[in-house]
This record gives sequence, structure tokens and C-alpha cells, in this order.
Amino acid sequence: MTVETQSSGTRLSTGELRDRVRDLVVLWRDRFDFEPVSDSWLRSYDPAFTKALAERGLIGMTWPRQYGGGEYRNVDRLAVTEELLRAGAPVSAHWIADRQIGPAILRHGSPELRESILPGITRGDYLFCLGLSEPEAGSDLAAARTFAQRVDGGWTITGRKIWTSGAHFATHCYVLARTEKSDKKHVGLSEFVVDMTTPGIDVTPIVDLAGEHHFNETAFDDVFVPEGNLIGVEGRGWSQVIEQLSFERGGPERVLSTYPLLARMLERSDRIRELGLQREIGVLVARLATLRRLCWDVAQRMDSGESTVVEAATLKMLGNTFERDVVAVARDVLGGPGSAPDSYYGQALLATPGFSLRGGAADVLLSIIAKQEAKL
Amino acid sequence: MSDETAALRELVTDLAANHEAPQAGDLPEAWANVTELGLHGIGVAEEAGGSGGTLAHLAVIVDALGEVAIGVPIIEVATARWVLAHSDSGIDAQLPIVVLADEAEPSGVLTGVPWGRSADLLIVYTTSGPPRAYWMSDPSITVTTGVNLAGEQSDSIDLGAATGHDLPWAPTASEVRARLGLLWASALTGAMRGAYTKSRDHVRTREQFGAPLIKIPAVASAVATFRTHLLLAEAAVARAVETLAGEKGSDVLDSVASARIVAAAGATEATRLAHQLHGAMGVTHEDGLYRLTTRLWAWQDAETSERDWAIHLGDKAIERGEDAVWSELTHAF
Repeated sequence: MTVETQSSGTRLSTGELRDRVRDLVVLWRDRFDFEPVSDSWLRSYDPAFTKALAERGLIGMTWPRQYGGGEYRNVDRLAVTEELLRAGAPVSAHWIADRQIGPAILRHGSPELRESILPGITRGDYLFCLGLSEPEAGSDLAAARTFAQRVDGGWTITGRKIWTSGAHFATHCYVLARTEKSDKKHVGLSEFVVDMTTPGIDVTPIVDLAGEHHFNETAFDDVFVPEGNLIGVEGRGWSQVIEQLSFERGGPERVLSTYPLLARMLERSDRIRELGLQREIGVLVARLATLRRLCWDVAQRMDSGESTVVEAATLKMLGNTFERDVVAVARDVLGGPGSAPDSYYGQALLATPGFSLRGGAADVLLSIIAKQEAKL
Repeated sequence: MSDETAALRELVTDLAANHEAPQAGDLPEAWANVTELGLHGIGVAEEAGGSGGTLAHLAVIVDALGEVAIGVPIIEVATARWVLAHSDSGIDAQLPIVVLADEAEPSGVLTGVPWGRSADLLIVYTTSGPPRAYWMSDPSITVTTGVNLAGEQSDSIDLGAATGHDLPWAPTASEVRARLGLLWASALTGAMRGAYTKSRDHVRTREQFGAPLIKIPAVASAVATFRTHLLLAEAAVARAVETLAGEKGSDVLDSVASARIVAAAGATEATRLAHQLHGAMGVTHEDGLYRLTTRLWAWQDAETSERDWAIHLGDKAIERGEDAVWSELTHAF
């Protein structure tokens, strides 16, 4: 069986894209030998899988064709990403670049920067990590201290970034740094693309409670960044990063991180009946159906250029709660005292503490929504 | 919001301006306005004696009435009129209502019938055979009156020896259940929005500790949490409306079940948050918040309970398995 997703000039419908990806992941489960895991967009890395998706035009799908994109809509991309998450496929290598850095470069980057970076992403060659959080700043992103010093032909960056998932395999790092010392913390920030092979970068692993290595602390010591690697306007980094964060928050990975566990549960009808958990399962299905609808609303608003701030924050809040509640029901259906860390249940459970931290803690999201509501 | 939707909502706003909360057990005077405007005939073609428009339009009206805490028999009557119009029965009733009888009930006695004493025609679906229509003027029918948590009529009806007559061409019980379920989800969503707006406005204007309450982070957090539940309920109803309009071709009853479950669960959060945000003021009769919150409590299990909807959906999911569930979910958004 051959499955194509790209042919010269023809665009597939959302349904066709979905069907093809659904067929692909079944085939690729053997070829790439992956087990469906929860939280695969953070925890399951396979550059060969990323490359295979790229060959079929499934990375940077919404971007212009000149950069290797498919000029698809965000709702089309949504159909593809949610099929990949459903399968628990190894998509973490390209996730950050595809989801937020590519779009940020597309919106604000110079034509030269777009030309030099975007085709590498759509080919599956350029893998990004995210240099936002800092050890001293925590959830307060604007408190970044990493400094970019003006030098001949560019900047030199010095500082430390933390929770840089995948920095140990990334080819590039997105870095939010201060280009101006200002009393107001939101002023004087700028965004950069840093080549990870530049001298002066040191990546230290941070092993998580599951014993897995995804996070890092990444130190920059006088790392040279050429002029052209500034994203957008010097000093306007904060307003640019706010837009980027709504890309980060409004996607299906905020709902489907534990879907592979739910899928496993749905196959245990005997156990669910024995425990009388039909109601709990029904509630999960209802919430999932509705949260998917919210994902679609967000993607549609992105396609029509509307703001998604409240919708994306809501999706992430309620999506994370849903993901955790799947694990709570699975505790009865699949768990038990002998649950191993690498069991479906154990693997998902050990991933849960991060859900409501990454991409903005729950309290941060609530304050974003409250601010909007106070204005009305 | 489309112009059409805005115009429909405005009809209800005008109507609400003169509305006075009725005594418990009374049919509100607003019902006369609803029928004069023909709002109870929306979703039934004009040729069939209705007011034209679609179920989506009716859902907007029901939502808008919920938002201003007006409880009238519009859901029951509009659905009964739709049943009659599709039954080729020639029956012309003023206040017909439709009831889906629970098989657990002893034969002949219907409990918790909304607006039972005010109805002139009762259409009863049982678990087998076509529905039957009974004129309430039949002397063998006895009504025992009661009220629900919101003080709305909720009566027991003993059909006694009443015979009624079959409606062989009527829509199926499942179609009726889907329609009623969607409309109750809309009513709940409207009442949630009413409670949300009132709560938000309260904490923005009420000053304590030298500033509006919303300046307190815990209060702002509660407002935001409230907002997320409202947004979710709205999304669930929008999805069900589209499914029921046949635009996407996925399972109608499942889509309604999701909306009904999400709206009912949202109602629980909404009542808790609304009262928390209003403080002691909110429990007084004078404040009027109760008109929204008691309706949210009364309506969250109206007709088919949240629990029964959830069990329906859960049973079906495990019976069919993950592949079928995912295909069903991704058939539509």
C-alpha cells in the first residue's frame, strides 16, 4: 500500500488528509517500531519519523509553498496533528518548530530569515528547542535576564535557559533575550534564532521524575548570533511572543496528551462494566467531543485572522483537566498496586505533573482570561 | 453573532423588560407574549401551522429566555407542535406537551411532567409502539400538582382509563429525545450566561477592601474559571446544533448527549461560582440571583438526567470500541 499526501498542485480536503494520515500511522507503527505513548509530542523522539512526515508535506503544512509548505488551512493541519496524537506517534522532534517557531518566523521574520530557516523545517532537517523560561524567572517569562549584546554584525548572547525540551538534539534554539536594559520588564526584549553548533552553548540534562531525559538547562556564553537571525523588530519581542504563545496553547496536544491511555481503556469494556464506570466514560467522551470542537474553533479563528487569546487559554485549562481526569479513571480500569512506570497507566500518570505547568501554569492562564473579562 | 440571531435575541430582551417573576406554580404572563410572537412555533413550517425557521433559531430563543431566567413551556410546546406537524394528525392544540415515559414508571402514571396542569394535549411516548395523544379534558385523567426547584409546574398525571389515540406517523422517540435534549442544553447555556454576566458585573462594581472585588486575585480566578465553563457549554451546543441540522452527518443523539452532559456539568460549576462571587447578597430573594441558579439546578436533569445521558454515551463507547468512537468524533467538529 502506498499512501501519498502531496501531489503536484492538488490540495487534499481535510477529510482526505485525515484518512491518509490515519492509514500512514498504521503502516508506520511497524516501520518505525513505535509504541503509542501518552504525551508523545514531548516524550517520543524519532528524527526518521519526522523526516518521513516531511517527505509527505506534513510539516509546515500551512506555510507558503516557496518555503516547502502546503498552503493548507489551520483546520487541515489540525486534522493531521490530532491523528498523530491519537496514534501516540513519535512527533516530538519537529513539534516546536512546526507549531510555533515556524509561524513566528513567518509572521515577523525578514525574507532572508524565512528563506534560510523555513525550508529546513519543512524538510525535517531543522529541529527547534525553546529558550523562553529562565532559572531565575520561572513562569514570569518577561523577567528574562539573558542578554544580547550588540557587536559587529550581530549580537552575542549570554544567559541561561531552562526546561529547553529537546535541546540535546535540536539544530536550532529560539531565544528570548533582553537587548536593552529597561525599568519596565516588558520593554527591550527581542527574539532570536540561534544555531546550536555555535561555540559557547552548553546543554545540561535535567532528568524528570520518570527517569526520562527531555528537559535541559541550556547555557549561553558569549554566543554569536548574526544580524539576520533577529526575529522581527529589536525590542518588540514581548508583543511578538504573546502571539506565539497563543499558537502554543490552542492546539489539540492540550487535550489529547493522554488519548492513547483512553483508547486502551475503551477496549476494556469487561472491566468498565464490572466496575460500573460507564457514566465516567460517557462524561469523558462528551468532554473530549466538546474540547475537540474548541480546537476547531481556535483553528478557524486563526484562519480568519481573529484573536484566539481567551479561546486558547480556555482550551488549555480545560484540556489539561480532561487529560488528568482520563488518568484518574484509568487508575481504576487499568491501574492497581502493581502498575509499572512503563505501563500505559504508569507512563501517563508520571507525565501529568507537567501538563498544567508547560505553556503557562493554570493560574497564569486564568489571569489572562480574567484580564480580558475585566475589560469588557 | 449574525443579524438574524441578534434580532431573535432582541425579541426576548424586549419581552423580558416587562416580565415579572411569577408565583411558584403559575404559568408566567410572559408565555402570552411568547405565543403572540409565535416563538413557540419556530422550527415548524408556516404551511404546517408553525412560524417557520429552524431548530437552530429555536435554540437561540430558548437560550435567550434562559439567560433572562424566564421559565415557560417553550421547549415542551415547540417540540410537541413539531411532533404533531410531522404526524399528519390534523390536531390543533393550544398548549400541547410531549413526554417520554420511563419504563420504570407504573403504567398510566406520569411523574414530573413539566407544565402538565396547563397543557391541553399530552403526547406520550412509551418504550414500544407509536406515541399516543390524550386531551387533558378527558375526565378520566387526574393531575396532582407540584413544582420543581425553580417553582415551575411539575405535575403527576394519572391517565386512568383515558384512551387517547395513536399517532402512527409521528417522529421516533429517539428523534424527540434529541430535540428535547438539545433545547435543554441551550436553556442551561443561556442561564449559565445570565449567571456569569450578573456575577462578573457584581464583582466589577462592588467595592470591598477599598477596590472592586475583581482586583482580588482569587475573585478574578473564579470569574475566569466561570468563563471557561460557559465557553465550553457554548461550543458543545454549537456542535449539537450543527449535527442536528444534518450538516455533518454524524450521530445526532451522541452529539446531543455530549452537549447535554457538558451543559449540565457546567451548570453545577456555574451555580457554585455565581453564589461564591455574589457572597451573602446572592442568597437573598431581593438580589434575584436565585432565579437563575434555581433554574440551573432544576434544568440540569430535566427530561433525561445528566447521569442517564452519560451512561448512554459510555455504554455505546465501550460497546463499539475506540476506533468507532474516534471515527464518530472526527466525523464532525
